Amino acid sequence: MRLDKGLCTDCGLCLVTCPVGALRDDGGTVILDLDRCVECHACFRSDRCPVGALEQDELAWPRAVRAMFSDPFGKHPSTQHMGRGTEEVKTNDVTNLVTPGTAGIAIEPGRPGVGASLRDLEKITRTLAPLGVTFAPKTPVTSLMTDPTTGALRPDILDERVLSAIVECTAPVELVPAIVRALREVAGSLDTVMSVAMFFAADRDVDPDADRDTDGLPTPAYFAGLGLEPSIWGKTNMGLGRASQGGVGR
Amino acid sequence: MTHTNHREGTPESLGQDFVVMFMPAKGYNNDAAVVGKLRRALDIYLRHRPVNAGAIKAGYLLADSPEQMKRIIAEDTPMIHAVYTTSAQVEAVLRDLKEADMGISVVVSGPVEEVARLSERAGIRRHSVEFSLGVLGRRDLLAPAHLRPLITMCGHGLISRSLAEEVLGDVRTGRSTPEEGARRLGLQCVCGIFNPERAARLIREAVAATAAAPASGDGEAR
Repeated sequence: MRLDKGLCTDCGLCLVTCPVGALRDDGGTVILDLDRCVECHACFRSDRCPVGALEQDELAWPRAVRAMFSDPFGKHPSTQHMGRGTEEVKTNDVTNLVTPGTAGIAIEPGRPGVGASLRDLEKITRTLAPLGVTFAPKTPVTSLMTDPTTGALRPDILDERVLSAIVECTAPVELVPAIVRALREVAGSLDTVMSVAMFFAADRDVDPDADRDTDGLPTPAYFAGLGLEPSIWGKTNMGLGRASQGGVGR
Repeated sequence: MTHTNHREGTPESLGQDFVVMFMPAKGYNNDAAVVGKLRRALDIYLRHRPVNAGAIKAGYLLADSPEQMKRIIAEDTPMIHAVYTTSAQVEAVLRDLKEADMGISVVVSGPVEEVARLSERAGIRRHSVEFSLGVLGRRDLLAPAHLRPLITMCGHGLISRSLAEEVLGDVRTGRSTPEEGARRLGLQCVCGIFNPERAARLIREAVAATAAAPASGDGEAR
């Protein structure tokens, strides 16, 4: 983003549109803190500036990575999808990314409403990699890795900031307790928050118990036993999808 | 993307919030028929009176007409969403989508146990579930607790805490109604997954609560 101070009247109407506080009043002067700005373009789209002083500018690498993750209109080269994530559980009935016995894991530093540096993102990927997770291929985060076996990200992007980024991986269910322990440990070293999600496929061959419901899915007690605080909220794939002959771009 | 996950609020409030998604799988079923299927899904959504609906780049009901959205839906439209306030509406949508049998993945974000019950009533067996498991790290940086149910309705994080505060202030001082405030917040959410009815209720409650006593919660220090 660019704030044209030749046009800006310091009226301050734009300030509330910025999710990360990059637009701020500095003693009566409106400034745009480019280090803090994540290039989500929410200020520009809000159309609050009465004189058109906020402009979207062409972003060079590595700053362009901010918009790729923060602006939902940004299309990732890795996924060819707009937005910062992938299909994950939403098309699991077709892709079978996660089957019984496997957990899908989505860790999102910066969310909700805080923002994150990619250096903090790398702390998470480097924590998960040695545990034996498989980073989901063709995701925006995995595409930034120089070495998925260590979780190392390309060094030229580490000083960039984003609204959030989603680390997506899969692991055998048996590894979930160790993964949660490691996440809780690395959380203490972050200068941000991270939202935690996991997804599982129904497995009607297992008997229900305290940890598994009648569809073989984890219960709140299972997650609470891991030290997590499960919400009542989640995303349920209804199993209505199927592959066709003409899918393109896999 | 997990943009409809991680909504915050009381069980009662979240029980009035459901997002339905219809999403082709790239490389598996995003064939030549997909544009027609996305438009048909939108027609099904609209029959059951959503409070919002949309698709990234194609527009959303708070700002655009359904006709306009249908015109813009294209092969690269990743998915189409609609937001409902009751489980009965979602059950009816699922019945229609099941009957339409388009072979495209359908996902419902909402309270997991309620969604399990309504899918069973619709004759659908759940395939997989993604659970929202909380927030780790520097919780002191979070927005105050009374704002988070509002700002987490945009999973891309485009609704700032400052805008939510401004809206609450405007409603508190009578400069706008809760419904107008909810719409202002919802316009920031370009996917059309923001629930303006629930938001208006939350705004009304937050204003009433702060009239009685200052709100408290994580993130007050920021």
